[in-house]
Order: sequence, then structure tokens, then C-alpha cells
Amino acid sequence: MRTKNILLLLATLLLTATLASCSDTKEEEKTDIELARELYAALAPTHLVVNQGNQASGIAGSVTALNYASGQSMHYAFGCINGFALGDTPQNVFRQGSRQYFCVFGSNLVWAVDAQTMQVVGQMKVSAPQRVAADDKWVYVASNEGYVTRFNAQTLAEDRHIEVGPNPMGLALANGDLYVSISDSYNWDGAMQNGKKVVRIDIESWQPEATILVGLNPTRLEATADGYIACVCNGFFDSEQHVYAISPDNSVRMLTYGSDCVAAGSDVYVAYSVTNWETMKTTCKLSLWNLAGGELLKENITAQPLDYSPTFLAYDAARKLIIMGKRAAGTDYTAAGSVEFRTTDGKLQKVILTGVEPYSITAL
Amino acid sequence: MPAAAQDMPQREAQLGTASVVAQAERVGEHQAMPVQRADTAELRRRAVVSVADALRHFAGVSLRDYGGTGGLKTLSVRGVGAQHTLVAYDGIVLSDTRSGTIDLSRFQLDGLSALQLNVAEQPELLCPARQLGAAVLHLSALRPDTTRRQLQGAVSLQQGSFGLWKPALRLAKVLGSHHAVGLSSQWLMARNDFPFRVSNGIASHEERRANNRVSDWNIEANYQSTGLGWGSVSGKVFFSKSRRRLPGPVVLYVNDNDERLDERTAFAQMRYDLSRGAWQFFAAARGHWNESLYRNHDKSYPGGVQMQNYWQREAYVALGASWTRGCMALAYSADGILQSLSSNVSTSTHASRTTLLQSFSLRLSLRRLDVTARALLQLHKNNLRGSGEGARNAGRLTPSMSLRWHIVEGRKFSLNARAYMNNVYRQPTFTESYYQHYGNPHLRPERALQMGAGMALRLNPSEALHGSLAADAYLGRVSDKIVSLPVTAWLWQTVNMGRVDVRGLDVTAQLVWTPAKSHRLGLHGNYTWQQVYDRTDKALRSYNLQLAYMPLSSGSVSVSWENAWLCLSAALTGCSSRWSTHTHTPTTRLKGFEELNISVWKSLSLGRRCHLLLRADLINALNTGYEIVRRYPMPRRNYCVSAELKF
Repeated sequence: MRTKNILLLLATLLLTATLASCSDTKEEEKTDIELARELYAALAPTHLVVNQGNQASGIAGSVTALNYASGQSMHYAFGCINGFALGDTPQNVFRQGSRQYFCVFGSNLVWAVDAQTMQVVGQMKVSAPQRVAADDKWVYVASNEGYVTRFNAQTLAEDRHIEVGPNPMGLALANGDLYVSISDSYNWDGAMQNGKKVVRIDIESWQPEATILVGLNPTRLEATADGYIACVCNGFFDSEQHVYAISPDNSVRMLTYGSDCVAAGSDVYVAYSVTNWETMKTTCKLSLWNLAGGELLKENITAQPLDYSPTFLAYDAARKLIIMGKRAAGTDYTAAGSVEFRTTDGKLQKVILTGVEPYSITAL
Repeated sequence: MPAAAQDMPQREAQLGTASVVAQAERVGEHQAMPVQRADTAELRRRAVVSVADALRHFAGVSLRDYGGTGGLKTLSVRGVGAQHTLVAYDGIVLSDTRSGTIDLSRFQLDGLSALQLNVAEQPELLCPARQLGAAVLHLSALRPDTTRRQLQGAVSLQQGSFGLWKPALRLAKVLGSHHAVGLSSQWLMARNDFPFRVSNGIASHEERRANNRVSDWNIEANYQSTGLGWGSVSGKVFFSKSRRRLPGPVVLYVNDNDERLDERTAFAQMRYDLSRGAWQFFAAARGHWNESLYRNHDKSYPGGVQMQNYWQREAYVALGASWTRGCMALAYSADGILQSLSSNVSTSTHASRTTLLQSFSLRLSLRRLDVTARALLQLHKNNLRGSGEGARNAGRLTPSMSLRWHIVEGRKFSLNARAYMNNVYRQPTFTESYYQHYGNPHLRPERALQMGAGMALRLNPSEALHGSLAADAYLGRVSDKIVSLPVTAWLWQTVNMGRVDVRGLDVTAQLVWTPAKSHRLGLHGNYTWQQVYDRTDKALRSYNLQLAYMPLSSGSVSVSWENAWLCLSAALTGCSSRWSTHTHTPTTRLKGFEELNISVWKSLSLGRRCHLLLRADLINALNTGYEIVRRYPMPRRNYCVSAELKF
């Protein structure tokens, strides 16, 4: 029995020595960052999801890279690939050319990232950045402090900034101009009366071209292919919410009830979430509208109303998919959320888990 | 008589002579309820420098601490939540109608004579109905030595790391043979810019806490009379002013914040007690006013600043009587409370609540068994002036019962068993009911059921050696728990939806050995095991998981050696890992921690009546970096030195 034990001990020592020598190979010397970059490349992600996290629970923002076809995903992709975190309470991601821009509100910065590798190219410092948009030449960042800053897309150096009004929330590029929604949403005691407008800025001259009056608390702006702008007006959040249509000649009309929208060619998908404050149950209906004509093209796109309020609504034009963000239910709101991919006729195709509070998505 | 013996702590607190200062700690071995009491001198022996530190030496508690001298500190006992924990100052419960919790960082240990934590019930049969909560932390102010006629008092100065300065003055005079008056004042200032580490992968780095300055000042006048034929009276007038900058949570890539909180608090309270044969009476009254001015300098707000001003007012009266005959005692008390909150916030400009509480108590003290039964009737009426809907009114009769069995009673050895069942509920706070777009006036009260049983052992094998051991197992359930949830992408609201089940075990032990004159060796320890599980909905990922910030295990151990040369003590406190979210994920796990405090002190006699106490504390001697609340770092190694001249 003792001999057997000694032999077993020797065998264990030999195995340990063999494993130790294996760890000296170059394959094992890769850092976690290098391995993450390889994993990311192998994943060949089709979409990037920005997860807002939860500041009250100390959960930082993150990026989930996912491959729609395989259903696989890589959580904390930004942090793993770069070795540091995205930051706190990111708001949106915007794809332009070879760059992704991540707008990180709590951390007062906008990251510029290589769209293929997710490696950081640089950062732009802005106080309370609420939304980022970009074209080939410029990167535009709306600050919640009431201005929009323009950065050079190549050098990421600040070019100019312009005062636009209290609490700008949305940005859209159309007709050679930049549209900025002014919500005044921090002015609850003043009933947000200093908002209710969209400022149209001429990109070349960087001067306001027009002020377009819309509903209470305008937030998201979406530009259609034919130069119309859809503007979501969230009201007092617990009251009625509407979508307004802004034409290229700045005329405005209320399109429909809606709490979020996304452009799809010349049309917009509209999500309308309603909460019963007695039962605390939320339902959400999806519809498709033509902005120019103000026509309802498709009502109740999903067979049944959704039982949640989407954290974002997006459209993947290449794959013809409606994408919606969903936070974990009830007291689980600090757990992983998910994204739902649906066909344009509302059929659920896939649900892929994300990080906490998925808030924005971009297709690669 | 056993029933009378249970009233002893309260009576001693009321009499409050110099003997209180030297009173040994009680671990509740004689109470039907788990009562933990420690006087300030005993706490000092455990290397304690603050009220928050002191509470870590009590079993069953979970302290939420936002870090540093001025950081908010709230107490939860036996897993039922901080809003079920009442805090009483000199026998009268404090309140905060806005948040429902009392910030314990406002109290300085130097100004207190003792801390006592009662769980589930009050040891005294006759007490204000308001004290019949899930747990009551009693803070007792220092009182004069009524045996001395001369002016007495103390002047002290404390200095510590991160710009901490704390001067204090205490004066008292005994007038005649029955009256005493006192005046005390403290000032605390601290920069609070302690270093901490920001964990962020390869970008991890050291920073200092910014915008964390604090300045607190308070003054208190006391009056007490005892031994008069017509009863005893005690009263106080208190005023405090506080200016704090709020550092907020640690935010990645940003280390600035410009939030400020200015507060002023004033209250006056008095209590009258009378004992006539089999009858005892009490009357108590309190008037309270608080102003809270919050400023967030942020260009996102109109005018570049967010201003939230709140004014709280409370009028409180309590009356009670008890009657004892043979083995039976009966008590009745009634409390009336008027509370109001006004603010500059548009949706809750003036909220008020009228509360009537009545308690009926019966205690049977048989030869070896004491049984106490209570019924508490609560009626709450809410009102909201201006637009909006008032919170729903509520009323409920909640019973409770406790018993104690003296298994063995002896001078050298005693063993007691105890058990209790308690029903409590709390009204939603004004914030939960009214705060703009977040409050919900339809909320139901949050209910809690507590049950427990325990044993307490006391050993006095010789004059030189004393020991005690107490262990309590308990169960609890919180129903209709008030939680805030995101309803839409923009909006959060408070709802009744949670259920929490608690299972726990508390153990407290103490050993004191006096091997020779002027030598005293003390060993104290406590351990708490608490399973506090979310049982809201099986479909949720948080179901059957430990609640956020509740450690499974926590405890402390301290040793002290008092002698004629230089007294020494060391204390180790800590807890197991926790999560910052109800759902457990690796990224929200907070690692467990241990904190070692070491103290040395020396008392010098300067003449017949003067004593100089010199003390030095090394806090967090192991330089442990940890957080109790995620993103709110606690200070690492720091020091505190103090000198106190008593006369």
C-alpha cells in the first residue's frame, strides 16, 4: 500500500512538472487582452450593444458583441479588448465608416473605437455627453449642459461648439444639417417649458438655421432616407407620448402616439408603451408609418402587444430586422438584459442575452 | 422581582449617575428580548472611535456605510431593513419622514454614555407605543454625576487623519439635592479626502476622495430632576448645524462632484415619570424641526443648480400608565404624532401625517417564567396639500408575545431561555409616497414578522472572572416590501412587491478577568449568520438569493488590557462577501473584509478632581481597502489622537 502511494505521488509530481513546462510555450504567454482580441475576431460580431449598467448598484457600462447568425456573444467586449472599462452610464453608440463612437454620459467622454477590432483610437472629453452622431468629417456630441460640440473626425480635436438650449437629447443628420432636440427635461418645476423644440444647425456655417416647435420633452430624433425627421416627445414620462414628423421645409405635424421610434428607409417603426399605474403592467405596440405622407402602413406588427417597454428600438436595414432592448424583469433589473430580433412582420427570430440595461445597438 | 429587574436598564439610564460610566456591558442575558448594551467606556475598550464602529460590535446588525466621517450610516437589524430600525435619543424616538432612516453619523460617541440595541420588543413593560418596532437603538447622552456639587465637565480635542478636528465642551452643575443642568457642545470638521484605489483593469490608479468636506456643530442643554416626591423630570433642548459636501459614488474617469447638503435641526423633548405604589406613570413630549437644503451645482439644471429644500416638523406626545399586582403587570400607553414635510419640489409641496398609536401590555411573572403579551393599534391618516393625491390611510392591530424562562438562577451561574414573536409594520416614507414621478401614494404599509429563541448564560466562577454567552436563532419575513423599480426606459416608481425571508443566528460572548488590582483583561466577540433571501417571485433570477449588501457572516472580536501604565486594546471586525445587487453576478460581488483597530490610552490624575485622558487610535491598521456600499470606498489606514480633561 505504501509503495502504491509513493508511485502515485511520483506520477503526480511528473505530471505537474510536465504541465509547468508546457506553460512556457509561446501559446500560453498571451495576455488576457490578446486572447480577448482573438476571441472577438473569431466571433465576427454583427452587432454591438451598449449596456448602460446601473450606477446605483455600481455596475459600469459595457459593450456586448454578438453574432446574430450563430447567436453567440461576447460580454464586456470593450473592457476585455482594451483592458479598461467603457465608463459609467453610456448613452449610445454610433457607427460611421471605420469608427464606432461610444457616448459615455457619466464619465464625461466619447470613445472613438476601430469598428473592426474594437480597439480604442482616442477619446473626446465632453461634460455630460448625451448623444453622439457623426459624418465623414465631423463628430457631433450633444452635452446635457446645453450645447453641441463638433470634433474633427480624423484628429478627434475639438473644433467648435454651439449653445442650443437646455438638455439636448437627440441628434440627427439630414439635409446637410444637424438636428438637435431640446428637452429641458431637468426643469420639472418649470414643466419643461424651455424645451419643446428642435434646433436645426447648418453644418457648414455652424449657425442655427431654424427652431422647430414640437411637443413636450422631445428626445429621440430619427432621419429618414427622404430627409424627414421623426421626433419622439416623451411628455412627463408618465403622461401621453407622441411622435412628430418634421419635413425638410421645417413644417411639423403630430404623427401618432409613440414612446420610441427608428427609421427604416423612408418609414419609421414606432413603439408605444403604456403603463397601467394601478396594476403597474406595461404593454407595447409596434407600428410602421410613412413620415412624408403621415400614413399608417402597418398596425400591431407583433401578434400580441409586448409586455415590456423596450429600452431601445433599432432597425437593421441589411438584415431587415427590428431589434428591441429588454431589461430583466421586476427586481431583476440589475441582471443581464437581452435583445429581441424580430422580422418586419413581427415574428420573433432570436433573443440574445446582453449586459445590464441594454440601451443602444449598432449593426456592423 | 423578575419584572422589576427587567426595568433596570431603563431606570439606570434615567438615574444616570456616575455609576453608568463604569457600568459593565450587558449582553442581554437577563432579558426576554435580545438586548445588547454597552457603555462608552466599554466601547472604548474595544478600540471603537465612532457610533458606526460601535455598532459593528453588536450582533445581528448590518450597517450601511457610505464611507468617511460624514458618510451616511444607517442600521438594519436582523435582516428586516433599515427603515424598520428606530433610533431613540434619551428615550424618545427620532424620526425622518422623508427617508425613514436616521443617519447615525450625526452622533458622536464622545457625547454618549451608552448604546443599547433592543430587538423585536422593549424590556420595559411601560414604554411609549412608538418604541414597539422591529428594533430600537437607544442612544443615551452623558449625564452629570449627581453626587458631586461642584461644577463638573470636560473639555476635549480630537485630531485625526484627513483634516479631522473635533473640539468638545461639556459642563454640568448639580443644583440643590434633586436638580442638575448641563450644557454640551461639539464641533466636527474634516476634509475627508482619503485616498482610495479605482479598479479599472490596466487603467487602475490611486485617487483621493473629492468634495467630501464636512462641518457639524451641535449644542445641547439638559435638565434633570430625580428623587422628588412628585416624580422625576428630564428634558433637553438640542440644536445642530451641518454643512456637508457630498462626494457621490466613484465614477470612472471622473473625480469631481459638486453636491452639497446643509442641514439644521432643532428639537426639545421632556419626559416625566412618577411611581406611586403599584402604579407607574409617564408622559413624554417632543417637538422637532429640520431643514435640509440640497444643492447640486450642475449646468444641466435651470440656473446651473438643482435645489431641493425640505422642511420637516414633528410634534409628539406620549402618555402611559402601568399597574403591578402580584405576578401580573398591565400597561397602557398612547402616542400621538403630527408630522409634516414641505419642500420646494413641485409635486410634494406639503405632505402631512397624523398617527395615533396605542399599546396594551400584559406581563405575568411566575416563579421561573415571565410572559409578556402586547397589542399595538396603529392608525395613520395622510394628507397632501395642493395638487396630487394623498397617500392611503392605514390602520392595523399588531400583536406580539415574548417569554423568558429562568432555568438556573445563581450567583455564580445563571441560565435563561427566551423566545419572542413580533409583528410590525411601517408606513411608506414621504419620499416613497410623493417624490416627483417616483413616489406612489397607493403603497401599502410594509409588514414584518419576527420570531426568535435564544439562551443566555452567565458565569461568575470567582470575583476576578466574569463571563457571559448569549445565542439567538431567529426567523423573519418582510411582506409587501416597498421597492423602486424601473417601469419604462425613463421612469422609476415605488411599488409593493417584495417578500424577504430571514433566517439568522447571533452569538455574543464576553470574558473579563481581573488577575490583579489595576489589571483588567477583556475579551469580547460576536458573530452573526444571516440568510436574507428574496422570495418575491420564483420567475426572477434573484429568487432565493441573498439580498444586496447583506453579508452571510459578520462579526467582531476585541481584546483589551487595562493597567496602571498604558492601556491597550485591539479589535477586528469584518464580514463575508456580499453583492451590490439582488441578482448575483461576478461583477457585483463585493469581497469580504476585515478591519483591525488598535488603541492605546492613559489616564493621568491632575489633582483630586481633574483627570486627563490621552488616547491614540490606529484605525484600519492593516490598510484594508474595502467598500460597504459599492463605489463608496472606506478610508484605509488612518489615525486619531485625542486629549480630554475631565473635572
